[in-house]
Amino acid sequence: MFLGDMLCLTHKITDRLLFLLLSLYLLYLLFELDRLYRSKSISLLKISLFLYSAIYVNRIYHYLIDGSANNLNVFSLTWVSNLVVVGSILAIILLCIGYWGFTLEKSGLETQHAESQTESMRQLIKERDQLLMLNARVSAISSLSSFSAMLVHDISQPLQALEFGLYELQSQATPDQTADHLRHNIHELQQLSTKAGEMVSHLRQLMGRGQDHVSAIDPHMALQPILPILQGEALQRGIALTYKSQLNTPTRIMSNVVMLQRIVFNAVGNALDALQDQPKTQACIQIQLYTQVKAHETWTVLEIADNGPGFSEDVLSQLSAPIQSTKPHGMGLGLMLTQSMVRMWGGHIQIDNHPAGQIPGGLLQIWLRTAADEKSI
Amino acid sequence: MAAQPIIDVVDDNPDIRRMLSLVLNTHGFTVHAHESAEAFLAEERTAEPRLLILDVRMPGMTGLELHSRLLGQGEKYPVIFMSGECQPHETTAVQASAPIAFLWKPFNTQQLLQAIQEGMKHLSAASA
Repeated sequence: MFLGDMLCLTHKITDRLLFLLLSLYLLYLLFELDRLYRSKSISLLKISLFLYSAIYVNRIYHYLIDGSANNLNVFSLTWVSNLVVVGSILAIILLCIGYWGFTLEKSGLETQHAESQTESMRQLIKERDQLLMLNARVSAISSLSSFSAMLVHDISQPLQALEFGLYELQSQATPDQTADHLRHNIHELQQLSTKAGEMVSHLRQLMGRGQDHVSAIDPHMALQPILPILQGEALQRGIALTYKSQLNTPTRIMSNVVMLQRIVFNAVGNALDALQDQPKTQACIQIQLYTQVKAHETWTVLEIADNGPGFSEDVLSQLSAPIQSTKPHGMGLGLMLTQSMVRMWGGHIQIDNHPAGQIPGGLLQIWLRTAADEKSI
Repeated sequence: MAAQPIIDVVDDNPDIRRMLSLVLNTHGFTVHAHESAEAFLAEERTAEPRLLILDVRMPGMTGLELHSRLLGQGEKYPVIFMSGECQPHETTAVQASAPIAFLWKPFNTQQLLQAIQEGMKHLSAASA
């Protein structure tokens, strides 16, 4: 019997010691956690475990002092066991509050982190947009410099003719010349001066600002200033470039003249590059304007077709994939920008290769919203 | 009496051809204007001394190619090149062809007339 009591007592002491060690270990873990998060809730948890540990230390201490086994029992109604009950309840309440607070704090931190990530994403998107705009400007400058040589050549012609004409006029300006004859010569020189002026005006328009302005424009008229330049460049490369407008009545579309011209520059530039190394008897590019009904809506389609190698699978897939361009001349990105721009005008683009059986080549269609009574936006 | 020299103007720009012909005619020169190098080659060349005024850049055969071709055929004429725009390799090739002058459009008419006078001296020296 005595041995049985001894074993029971030893078991109780071991239990209490294990509880104490467990509490102290949890306390240690909470200290470590506190280092990471610095949370008030963890402090509450620490207090609760500290309280719990203190109660058990007190219990074991009193048992060791007076040797009474009642100190180890919960319901012995001694002040030590009562302290254990009250202390334990208090510790559990603190534990619950601390855990609840910690969960709330953690959730708040996660929300804050998510918000900061959203803000980072916004920043990234903003940076991407800025890069796209930068690329658009670089692309425009690049297109412009490619054609500036052609423009310089073209502008120099009427200026030179003007110089010859003025020189001639000066030598003819003698008293015996009739006013009618001189008037005719002056009129011719004025026409040459107008030609030079128009070229400078087109150049200025290409370099101009206000590319974000969207208004109702006549696509046929918008293309007129750039067609001679494109045809001149194509002619130099031995490529036939034709333009045909099938718009029977004056049509207006929602667009921007400068950006539309740049888009056509870019698209025709790509087609010219694609045709450059093609061993063809007659490389050609066709630009067409026509209307087409789709989904009960009349669209104006600007089509650029060539008989080159066509678009690669990479480029075709890029229009439905995230932005990526590893092309030497950034053709994919150019098309992406074209697509973005045209979407902004309420239209869309389609690129494809001519179906098998037809003449091979690339086909770019720019579907533009026909302006009804829309005002400039 | 020596034959009157002919000035052949080869330029694809009709305004330049017309105005230059007008100026040179006023100065008493006989001018033949051609819209392309091919048109110049297609025309039969008479025995009169000739001076060529060639545009460097033209659709089809360029002024440089025309000059090389004529040299290849043993036809050596004093040549004045003019151009509104040239690639660096074209400029180098023009300078290497030892022309009487290489004029960048727009240039002063007086410069051209001086170059023509220079070319006429070459023709006189060659016929002497």
